[in-house]
Amino acid sequence: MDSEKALIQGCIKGDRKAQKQLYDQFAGRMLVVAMRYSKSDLEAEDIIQEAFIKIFEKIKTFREEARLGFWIKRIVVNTALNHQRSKLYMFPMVDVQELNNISDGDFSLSNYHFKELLAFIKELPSGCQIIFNLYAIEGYSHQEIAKMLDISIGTSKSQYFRAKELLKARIGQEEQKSYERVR
Amino acid sequence: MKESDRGMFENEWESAFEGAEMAPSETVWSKIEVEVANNEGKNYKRSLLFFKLLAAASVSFAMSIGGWQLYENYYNQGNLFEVTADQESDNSSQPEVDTKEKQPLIAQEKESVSKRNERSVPSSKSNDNEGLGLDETTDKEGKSTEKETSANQTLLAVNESGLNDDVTDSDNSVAINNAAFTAQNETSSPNRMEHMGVDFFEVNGELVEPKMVPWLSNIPSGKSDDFKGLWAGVGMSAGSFNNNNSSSSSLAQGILNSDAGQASSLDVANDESNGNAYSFGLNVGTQISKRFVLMSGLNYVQQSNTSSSNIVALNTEGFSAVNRSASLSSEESYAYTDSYKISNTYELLSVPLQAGYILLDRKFNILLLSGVSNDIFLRQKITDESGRAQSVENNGSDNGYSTYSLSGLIGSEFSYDVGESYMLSLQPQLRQTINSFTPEGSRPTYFEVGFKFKYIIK
Repeated sequence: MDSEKALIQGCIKGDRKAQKQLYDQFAGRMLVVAMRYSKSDLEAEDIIQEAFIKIFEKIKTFREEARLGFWIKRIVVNTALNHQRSKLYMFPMVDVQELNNISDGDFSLSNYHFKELLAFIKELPSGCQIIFNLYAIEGYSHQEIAKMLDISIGTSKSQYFRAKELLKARIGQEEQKSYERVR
Repeated sequence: MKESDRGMFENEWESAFEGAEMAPSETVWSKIEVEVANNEGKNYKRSLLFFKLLAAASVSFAMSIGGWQLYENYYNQGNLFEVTADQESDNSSQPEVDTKEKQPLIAQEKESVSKRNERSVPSSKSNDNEGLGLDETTDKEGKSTEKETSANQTLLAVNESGLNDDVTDSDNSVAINNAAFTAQNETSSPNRMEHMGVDFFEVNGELVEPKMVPWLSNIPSGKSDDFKGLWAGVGMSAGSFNNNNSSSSSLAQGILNSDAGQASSLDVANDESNGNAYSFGLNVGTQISKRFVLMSGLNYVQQSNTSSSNIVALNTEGFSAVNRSASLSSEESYAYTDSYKISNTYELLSVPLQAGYILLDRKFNILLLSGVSNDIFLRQKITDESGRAQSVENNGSDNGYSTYSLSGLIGSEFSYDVGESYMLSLQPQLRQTINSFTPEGSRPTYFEVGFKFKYIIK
């Protein structure tokens, strides 16, 4: 904890070594977060770059009662959302018919590596991708998502159910392929 | 945050990415490093721009002060020469005066001249010339101001020792000395300028270093895009003024000369000192365009200064203080007294109208202001500081005072936005009286610093 304080103090003073240390500590995890919101590795790296510049600028505002990792993740997510905003504008989200909430049953992703799952997420339409990440992985409520993206709660829900349907279908396809390969 | 309808699907996805890491490419950190360094440079440039603007404002402020000081020095010199010239003409045109009455007055006058010279040439204090004769002083005419001061000291010594038998000789010497003094003043004026340059100036008879521009630090530079439509506030200001007395005691002399047997060279309170002024009131303003503002208000102004006098006005209840030659009236009786100190207080209502140019429009704002002040004279009060003479109050247009006068204003305003609705401001300002409200026509120059608290209405 003291070392984290020293690291933060170093970053506040603009000490490049401290900044690099902070980057090394969090960049790997944050890159995965950025990749979930982007369509390509290059775009994810741009998000990371922009997010860390913001982090070094704003670190003096960091309150110690918050977890540093959580604070950094929020900046990365917000940066990713800003990146996607133009796409959201180009492809405005419309309400889709809410699907019946199909039971998840014995749904499991234990056979999948996170990189495979990342690939599935990237295949989602932009709106669905963002709302899926925010709801399913980040854990935001539809109300919070609606506020963050300036959309209605209904839009958030319908987009999420669509994402869920698409992902389930995609995973179903993969399972079908695996089954056929085994046969 | 978590909703109740979260099921296995969401939990599986969440846990699938828990602790997931991927190494970014090497170039990412390099780019971040370059960008962070650039931003630091931008911040430095931003600070530099702010300090450049601050320096520009400080320079303009310093130039205003410098100009005012030069103006003040110019008028002080003018007064000195004028007094000398008057004195010279008095001596030549009226050689046969009552020397017994004139003697102490001349001594007093010479004393003040001597003091002025001592101030302008401090080294003369160390001269021990008491043994020198008056003729010797005349012989050394045109040599140095120090010698002339010594001669005056000798004259004082002679007068103070009460050698009335030599009064006529002494008078002649005074006339010669006055001529010498005038000539030396003319020749020594460049030296005086050196002494009274921008490094020092005279306030209340003392050499004082000019006040430097206050250092403003810790000024936030956050941009404020608010267009301040209209604001109102309260404010107060305090400062000092220079009377710029160029007029001599002509009216007094006229009245006194008409009175047979009175000395013509009586000096009636023409040594009015610089004084202090303060004001408080309400102010309003509006931003008429992106760069220009209009400001007005209503202020109560009080000015006070001190001077000495050696005449009093006689009335049925005793005698009252008289401060200036111009306040003398032919309908009243006057008497000469020992010199006494009086304080003059003027009260006015001021309605300023100023236009301002916004030099810096941020959270911290800088305005350059210029305009006029419409001043309504309320009253003047003259008080004998010793309390022996009665106080006198002149209201409105009594005794030749004008009810309305106009002043020019130039200054700057440094303000700071407090929240969205309030502003605190500091306003250094130079005020030059254009047409005087006093009968003698003095046109004081004021330097004042105001503090205002403003509420932004919309």
